[in-house]
Amino acid sequence: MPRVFHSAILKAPSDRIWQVLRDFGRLHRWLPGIAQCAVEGGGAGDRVGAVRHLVARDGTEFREQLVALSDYDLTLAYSILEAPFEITDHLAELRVIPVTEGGGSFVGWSAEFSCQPDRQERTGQFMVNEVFRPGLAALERGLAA
Amino acid sequence: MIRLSRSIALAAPADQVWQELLGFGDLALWHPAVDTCRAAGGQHVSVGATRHVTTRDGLSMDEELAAASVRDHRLEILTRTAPFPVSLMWQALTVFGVSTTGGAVLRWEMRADGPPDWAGRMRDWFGDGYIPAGLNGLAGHLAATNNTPINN
Repeated sequence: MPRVFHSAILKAPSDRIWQVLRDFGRLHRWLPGIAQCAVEGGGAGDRVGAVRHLVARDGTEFREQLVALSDYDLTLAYSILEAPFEITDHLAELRVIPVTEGGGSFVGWSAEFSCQPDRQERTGQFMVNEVFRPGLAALERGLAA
Repeated sequence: MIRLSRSIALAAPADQVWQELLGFGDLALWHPAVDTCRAAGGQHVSVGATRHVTTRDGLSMDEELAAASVRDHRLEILTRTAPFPVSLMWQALTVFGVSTTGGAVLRWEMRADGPPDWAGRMRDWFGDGYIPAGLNGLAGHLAATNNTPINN
């Protein structure tokens, strides 16, 4: 099963980063390329089991479910339920770690998934280059403002 | 329960940091608070391996490697004999790669169950002393290793 990963050390305190990330239903506030994001049924975005509906700026749509969230460990996990490309068994994790010696915060974003072998590289590159990398860069910029 | 977590950014690739941690009996090479570390059954790591650690301030611990995950770059250690009156003491060291720098972050966690009147002392000893000293010691050890000319 392919696994992709991207990470960075951001200057912002971990609690500020985490407050942004844990707001599962408002991804459009910080992730470039996302035009709309809403929790289906209007429930709380941080409720495990919540499903968010995303509309990207190119008009493609995704449905993703929050499957784990820990305010103690500063981690959350979500799964893509529907995407405009073939993907199954998807599980992504976002993790924040305070860098207690030296300052700043580590943010790691990883995902595992299944798809046709000839699509694996392209799908993985999409996640890293179109989602993870610009996402962490946008977090850095947004929280520095 | 006492729960502590400390971490540091290291200027070394995650694989190199992981290889250092796999030297289960080599703790004294990089931990400045450790006086001696003697591993039973050699220096190579395997789950179930044990080590006897003495510190420069006169304490000693017997530790067992309870779990090791190459995939997650994570070691879990149970303290079998502790210098504090604890019923359970667990540590985990996890290495994370930092994509933007090529370096790594090492997180060192500790959990322990023990008498409440010892909690403050243990927090001070581990959280403000032993664990940060180890993290900074490993950072210095890696920096020295990576700066050593290979033809010396």
